[in-house]
Amino acid sequence: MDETTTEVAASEPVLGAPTFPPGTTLREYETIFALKPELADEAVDRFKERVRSLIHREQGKAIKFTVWGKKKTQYELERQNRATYVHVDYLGQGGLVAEIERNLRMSDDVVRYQTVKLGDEVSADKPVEQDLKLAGDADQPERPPREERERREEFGGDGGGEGEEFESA
Amino acid sequence: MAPYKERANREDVPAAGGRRRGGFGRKKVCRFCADHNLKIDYKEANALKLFVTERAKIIPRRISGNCAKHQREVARAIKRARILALLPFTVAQHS
Ligand SMILES: [Zn+2]
Repeated sequence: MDETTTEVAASEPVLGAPTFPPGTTLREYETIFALKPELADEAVDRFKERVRSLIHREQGKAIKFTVWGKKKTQYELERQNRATYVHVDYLGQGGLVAEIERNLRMSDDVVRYQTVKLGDEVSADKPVEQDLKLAGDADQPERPPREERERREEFGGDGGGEGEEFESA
Repeated sequence: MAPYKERANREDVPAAGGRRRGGFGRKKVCRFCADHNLKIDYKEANALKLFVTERAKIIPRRISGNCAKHQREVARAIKRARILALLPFTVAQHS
C-alpha cells in the first residue's frame, strides 16, 4: 500500500490495499485473463487498475501484475487468434476469487480467464512487487483462414454422404 | 474413426503379466525426478509441448517415461494451458 505505482492510468484513483492485523494469513491466487486484441495499451492498463481496485475493495492484496502482451492463441477465442494476456498474483480469502471472476465474466473485453490457488497460509505481509510488461509475440499479419475454415466445416458437416453417393452410382 | 478398435490393436500395449524389453529401448527415467530444477508450469507452454503429440494429445507416460506423480502434474498443466489457449486441444488435419 505504500507502493507508488508509476503509470496509473489517471482517470479513477486506484484503491490501495487494506491494512491487515499482524499475523494475518491469506490464500494466494493467480488469475490470468485474456483480453480482446484490439484493446489499446491504455485500455489494458485501465483494466488492470480496475482489477487492482477490486482486489483491494474485497479485502485482498494485489502482489503483482504482469502484462504478457499480445500473444497468438492456439485456437480462436471469439473468432480471433490473438489476445492480450494479463497475469495477476494476489492474496485474498473466500469470495474474492468469485467476485473477480464475476467481473471478468461480465466484461465484454475478456475472452478467457482462469484462476489457480498458489498457497494456503500466506502472510499478508508478502511484499508487493513491481508490475511487469512483456513484449508478447511479434506482430504477424492476421491469418487469412477463410478457405481453410470452410474446408474444415465441409468435413465435419456431412456424415454418411459418401455412402449415399456410392449407392446411387 | 474408431479410436477404441485402434487402441485394442496397438502392438505396444504389453499383455498382462509384464513387459519384455527385447534389447531395444532403454529404461526411461522420469526427467522431473532426475532433475529437481525442472518445473512444471502451465504458463510455460513451450516446455509443455514436449509432452504432447503433433495432434496435441497428451503423451502417455509409458512413452514419456514420467513417473505417475509427475505425469499427473504435466497432464494438469497441459489442461490448464489449453483452457487459456496457450496450447491447442486438437490440431486440424490438413489432408
Ligand atoms: Zn517423477
